[in-house]
Amino acid sequence: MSTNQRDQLKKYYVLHSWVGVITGILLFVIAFTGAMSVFARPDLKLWANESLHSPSKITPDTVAELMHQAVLQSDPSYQAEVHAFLPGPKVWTNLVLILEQDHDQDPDAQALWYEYDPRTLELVKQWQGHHDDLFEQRSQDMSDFISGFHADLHLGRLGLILTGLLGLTLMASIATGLFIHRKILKELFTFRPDRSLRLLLTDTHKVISVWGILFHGMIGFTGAFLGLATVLLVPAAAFVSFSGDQEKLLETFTAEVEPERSGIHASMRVRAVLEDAFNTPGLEPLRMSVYGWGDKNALGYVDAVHQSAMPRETHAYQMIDAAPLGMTTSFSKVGGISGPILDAVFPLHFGNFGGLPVKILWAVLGLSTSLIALTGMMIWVERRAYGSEGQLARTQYLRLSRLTIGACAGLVLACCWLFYLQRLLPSHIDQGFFAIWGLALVWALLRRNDYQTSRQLLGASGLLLVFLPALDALSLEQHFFNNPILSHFNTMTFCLVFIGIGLLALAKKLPTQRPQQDHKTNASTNTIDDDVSDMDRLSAAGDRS
Amino acid sequence: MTALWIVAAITLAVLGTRLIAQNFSQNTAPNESNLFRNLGLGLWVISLLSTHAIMPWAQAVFTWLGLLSLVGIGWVFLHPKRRRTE
Repeated sequence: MSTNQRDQLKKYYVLHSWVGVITGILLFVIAFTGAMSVFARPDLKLWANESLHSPSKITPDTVAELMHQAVLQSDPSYQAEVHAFLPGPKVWTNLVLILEQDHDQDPDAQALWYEYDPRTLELVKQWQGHHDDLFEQRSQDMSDFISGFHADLHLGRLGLILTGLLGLTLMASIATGLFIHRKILKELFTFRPDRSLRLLLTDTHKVISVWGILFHGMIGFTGAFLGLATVLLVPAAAFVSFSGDQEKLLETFTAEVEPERSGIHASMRVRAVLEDAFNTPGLEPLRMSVYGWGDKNALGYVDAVHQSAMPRETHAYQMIDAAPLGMTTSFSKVGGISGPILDAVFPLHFGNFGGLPVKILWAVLGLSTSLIALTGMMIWVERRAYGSEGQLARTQYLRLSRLTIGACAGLVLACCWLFYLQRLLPSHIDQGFFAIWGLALVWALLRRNDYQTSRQLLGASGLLLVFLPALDALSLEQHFFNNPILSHFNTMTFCLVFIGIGLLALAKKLPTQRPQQDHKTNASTNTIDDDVSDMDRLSAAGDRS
Repeated sequence: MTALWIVAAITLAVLGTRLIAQNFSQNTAPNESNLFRNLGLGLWVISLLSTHAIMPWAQAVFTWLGLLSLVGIGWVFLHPKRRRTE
């Protein structure tokens, strides 16, 4: 290798390690919560809400009747948009009807919110207020909390930008990693767990990275798109093509178009539209919206998922006669090859296109992405605290190591605690989650031995999971212990999975201290093993030069 | 039936990975090595086709790539000869 090539590779190595260490903890947080978010809807939502375990009275008839009732008892100005969010584990737990004034014309437009229990059709909540405050009315459970945390860290636009940028840095790490590791095919099959701690970490890091490279790249790309689309890409596209008019851009490409009002009254055939959607094989309706209620030209849209299609579908209807007007997807109006690619971004990111097997696959691979971040951080610390690359005192690097363990193992503990919060304190999920995570972080920073800390935090997580079915038994009417056959299938599966993962976490004997042999070898020679890896050799060469 | 196709796809992916891993073995002669690699790649293709049997192409390709990643990671971590490079 020439000096120029070596210098070039050294630059990539420095970039790879610094990008990794700066974003490592955040990448672990996003990847781990992402792996959980894969199951957020419908599985976690179904587990979290007992109301979804009972038979529902929701039919095209009952929804149509409730929509007509809500429209009749409200002022006609609230008929610009009428939405019905159908209850179910994929969206909301209750049936929600929203009636809106025309917010395109009036910035102070108001909205009405009616919420019904799907088991009894009883009105459980009614609200009237400013259109902008509408979605704050939605009650949140642990599945909403974890998927929201994964999407924007509950920081709004700033969080979306952060997670979007993290997708870009993940892609940058993959690209620089590819440049550094020139023996990529050999590394596919190299794993030496018993040589030294550093080799174990580097081999684990490389095996997981290289085998899952397409998955990690796809997650980085789709994550960057989902994070940055609304906050940067839409304004940028509007600036370039629509003189900065974002509303016009959205109207051009959105699947739902508002009709031209004729002023002629007509009755709305809601029931017929819903029946058509419910009776379409493989289609699962999630929401129905009517624009221009009561007008001859009113249009209805049914937002639905189809079991054999990747993107969500929007089926349009003429409301006067329930005539179908065709189906579009979110980006089908973009046209060309871009439309299907953009439509595939969301299902690809969350793995919700092939049923439970794909979800399990995506969750395990998501966990592998979080392991890459964690092993990368540990390698960085190892090389500096016990190798030749450190320029600061060892204690400084060990402090970073404690922070990493506290943040990562603490997050795992907080996520297990989330299940208890859902059953015991459902209205304080966010406070409870951050309190436990914060406590774990402080605990890790105060302790001297990272290995013992990670063992304790993971052990505590395992214990929480093992005892979770007992909590179910105390808080649910039908549960695994009193009625394993008739208790809801989802709850039973979760019970078995919780016990399995919990026992695995408890059985796994993590070391209580750093392996001494490795430490002595490195301390005495202060050199890097000659067969460690390309990266190590490169680093050593760079240090010598 | 779906479960059978899933089992077939996983089994073929594992067998294909096993043969391709043999390609990198230090004890394998070059001509044998190429044979193992080609057979392994063939099994991977059949595994992809098995995945396609239960879902459309676009979904099948992404699912199979994810499956292969997991099989590869599992193979390297669990295989008894993983310490061959020591």
